[in-house]
Amino acid sequence: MTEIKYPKFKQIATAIAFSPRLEANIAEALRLAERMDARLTLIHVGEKEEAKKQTVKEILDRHVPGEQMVDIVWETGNPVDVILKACEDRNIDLLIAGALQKESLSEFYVGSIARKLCRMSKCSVLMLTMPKTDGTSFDHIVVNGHEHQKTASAIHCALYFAERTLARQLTIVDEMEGGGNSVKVEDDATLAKSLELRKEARSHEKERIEKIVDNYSLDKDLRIEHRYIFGKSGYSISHFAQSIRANLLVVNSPDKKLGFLDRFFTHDIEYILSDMPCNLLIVRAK
Amino acid sequence: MNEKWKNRLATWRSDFIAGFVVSLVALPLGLALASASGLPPIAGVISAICGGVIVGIIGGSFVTITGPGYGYSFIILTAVNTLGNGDMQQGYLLVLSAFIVSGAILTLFGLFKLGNLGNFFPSSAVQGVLAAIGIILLSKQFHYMIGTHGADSKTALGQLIEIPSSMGKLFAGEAQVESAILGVACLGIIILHSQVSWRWFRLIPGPMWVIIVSIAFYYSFSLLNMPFPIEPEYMVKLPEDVTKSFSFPDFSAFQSEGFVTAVLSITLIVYLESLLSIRAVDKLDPLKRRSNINKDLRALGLASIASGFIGGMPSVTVISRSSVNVNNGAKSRAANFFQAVFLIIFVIFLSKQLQTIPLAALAAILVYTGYKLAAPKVIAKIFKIGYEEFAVFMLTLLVTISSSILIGILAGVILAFVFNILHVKSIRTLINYTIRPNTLLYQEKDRKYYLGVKGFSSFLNYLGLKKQLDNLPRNAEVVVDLSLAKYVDNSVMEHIHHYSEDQESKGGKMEVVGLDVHGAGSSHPFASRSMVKFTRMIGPSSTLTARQKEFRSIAKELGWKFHAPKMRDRLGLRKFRYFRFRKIDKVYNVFTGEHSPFLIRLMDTEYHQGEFIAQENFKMTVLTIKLNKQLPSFTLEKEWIFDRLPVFGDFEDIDFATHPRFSNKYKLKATDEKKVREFFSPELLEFFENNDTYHIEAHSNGILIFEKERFATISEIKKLIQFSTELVGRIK
Repeated sequence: MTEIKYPKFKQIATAIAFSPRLEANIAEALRLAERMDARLTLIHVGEKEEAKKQTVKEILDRHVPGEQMVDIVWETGNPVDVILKACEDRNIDLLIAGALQKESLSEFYVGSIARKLCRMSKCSVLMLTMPKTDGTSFDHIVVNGHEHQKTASAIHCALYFAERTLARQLTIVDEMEGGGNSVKVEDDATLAKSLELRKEARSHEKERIEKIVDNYSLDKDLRIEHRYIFGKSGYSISHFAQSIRANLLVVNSPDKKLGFLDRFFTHDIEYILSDMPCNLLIVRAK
Repeated sequence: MNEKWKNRLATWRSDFIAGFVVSLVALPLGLALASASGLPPIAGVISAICGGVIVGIIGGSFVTITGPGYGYSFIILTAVNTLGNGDMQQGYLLVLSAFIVSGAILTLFGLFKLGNLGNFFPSSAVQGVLAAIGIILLSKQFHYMIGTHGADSKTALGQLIEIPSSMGKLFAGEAQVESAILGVACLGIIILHSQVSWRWFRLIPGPMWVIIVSIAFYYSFSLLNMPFPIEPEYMVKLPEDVTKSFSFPDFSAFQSEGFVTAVLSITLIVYLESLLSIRAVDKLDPLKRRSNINKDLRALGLASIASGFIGGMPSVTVISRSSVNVNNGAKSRAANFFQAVFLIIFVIFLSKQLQTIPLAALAAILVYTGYKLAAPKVIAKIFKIGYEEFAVFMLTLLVTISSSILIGILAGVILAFVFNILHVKSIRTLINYTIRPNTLLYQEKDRKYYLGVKGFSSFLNYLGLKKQLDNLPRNAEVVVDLSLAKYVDNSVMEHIHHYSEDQESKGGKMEVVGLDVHGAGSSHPFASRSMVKFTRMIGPSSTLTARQKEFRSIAKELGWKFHAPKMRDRLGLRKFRYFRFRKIDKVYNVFTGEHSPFLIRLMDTEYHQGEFIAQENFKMTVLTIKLNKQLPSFTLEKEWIFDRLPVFGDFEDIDFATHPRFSNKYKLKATDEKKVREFFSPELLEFFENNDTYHIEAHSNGILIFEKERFATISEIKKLIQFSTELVGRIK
């Protein structure tokens, strides 16, 4: 059995700004750090002021009285550069960021800083749609299971995350573009052929996913299911997560650095960022 | 002979008969459409022959008929005039080259698999174009029908306004009165043909009656030794020897400006008319096969090229002739081929007789066709769907008749687009979900599928949804979730409806969910749904008609239940053979009686046969009995002379030597003769002998009974109920 490497989230960081959501942000990060047995670093881009320090201390005292397992970095400069550099310096393996909420309650907008962090970060990123002071639940997790070298790592990471956060259900999703093969359905004959190929592809996929799941020794009760969905890859998984009301979507990191043009010629992860269906975890194995 | 060839021969036999009947329709229509386009009448027949031969062999559809279409006649007429600078003969040869180029474009569309592109146009705009074509046909041909040289005005609107002045000319004696008399009589025949149900009359298609009457009209003059009063210029002209006088295209007009417009307009019309027809004919196909549109376009393009080279019009898939084809038992493409063969025979052997047809008679056929395309009923139907759809429809219609078809459809698309913006409200969402994917499909379990649509769903992004719909197994049970879509337009509602019918025909199901929160434009099933608009839904009327009140009291007497409003459920009617070719539109006024262990239901139904202009609507009262056991399948009909023709059935009549009265009265057809003989006990046979004759059909655990193809009267209903309760007592 080959060992599959996945991040265990021992060093967690989150960027803080002094907004009304500050307490919720810190509370979420603390709770996750506790679940993962991790050390938490708070990064603030801006001047170190006595008042700010006092506010943070009060919040920390409310949530982890007495203990001092939290580091705080105060640094000025370009927010993205500062945050990324702090993560690298401190060997962070999970960065928590927040999405902004749109006017309507069900849609979330990923701000330009968060978007850049997602694209450029060298560690995994957890994007929370709405941090809550009393904690977000990750009850139902969806993970991308497409055939890719990073997939095993993403699935194991999702299993690990599910175990630690007491999730109840994990859905591994295989995206199939079009009918899942290159046959263009034009009539009954081509449809029959496409369905046949789809069936074959399925049994192959099933075997592959089962192998990956068997490779992980799970010590919590978790319902795992495997699904095939049809649609544009990247987009359909996001739509799926939304339609089944999942709490967390786990995907592996993009293969290449995404640039400005990718926002217009949307693909994969950009589909998810442009219309966040739920909380999102982008896994980067080091 | 092996099994495969036996089947093939059996198929060909029914295709042969269907092809013959279709050729009776195709001949007059071909002559008429070519004359209306300013071409020699033979050009239309050449188109039908090329279409039949080429599409009949290499096409991708099954029971369609190809030949000259309705849509392009005025485009071709304009092109003949502009290209030929007024010289009709020169214009004819030049326009042939446009047909060839248009055919080549169509072939390329097929080769590059662009058959789906036609779905991009909003359906109300497409219907607007069709109605405009109808008005153009009607306003132009009306003048010819009443024996004039046509209208002076070039625009359809002008020609429509000129109708009274043409009629004035007729009464002033400036027109050919005999032509007018024949023309109006022919129109009368076609209208009568669509209204009455005399079987001998309906056995021959309406347009063929026009031909027969016209030829008889001509010969009656020579019988009476009178000179034929209609001048030759008002008659159909055919070359002396058809086989030797082909016209060949002249390619010298490539540079002229009218050429490109002609090619584009013709291609667009051929493409749209064919796509709509193929889609509609697929629903009529008794075997419910799905046509390969790309393959069919390729064949149509090649047929147009071939036709253009020998002097014919482009080939189009045509709905009305296809529907005649299906109704006459066509099973495969061979019917289209046979149609062409019969046409060849007709023009070779009947060319002399065909020249005795006055143009006014052909014009009458087109006036009727035009009227059907733009009938007030069609317009009212779209008005019922909603104001927006109606606006798009009317705009397309008006712009098309006052300028051109290309500008007309463009105007319709733009208006529909504006409505999209108003509903979706955010340009960003509109652009995002137009250029990016917005659909998700997954298998929930076994045959159950989930199909979700996000953002909005309209003609703009329907192609993505169509791809998912095409990928569904046809027996799948699909839930279409539109709850994440802010706006769903009527084009999409209509397409989904068509797919759900398609699924149901193969044992699947399609159900739309998530529209409860949307406001609808009207109570029509195709009405657009939007989160923005909250028009009040029109509830079912609570007032009962006199008939319904009677029904209620009958039900009370019998201790049955009576339910007046329309039902969504078809109450198992679709299972019956009778409804396999007839589509049920409404079921209402339902009586339900429990005669344990049987369940008897009596209901009013509305259904239709054929599509578009060939659509015929029926209303009928039927009774069904649900049993607790399996019956052998059979149909029992009144013995009727015409039913002896092979056109009407696949099975032999089963007779009982012991009960000659029964055998004379009824025609019994069944797949499993042995079981049926067992089922018809002497007691049952005597019962049938001594009662009124009904149409009876049995299918697994159900029996369908009706008397006439119309709503039953109160007394007929009482009798029908009486009959059914007694019948139930005799079934063991």
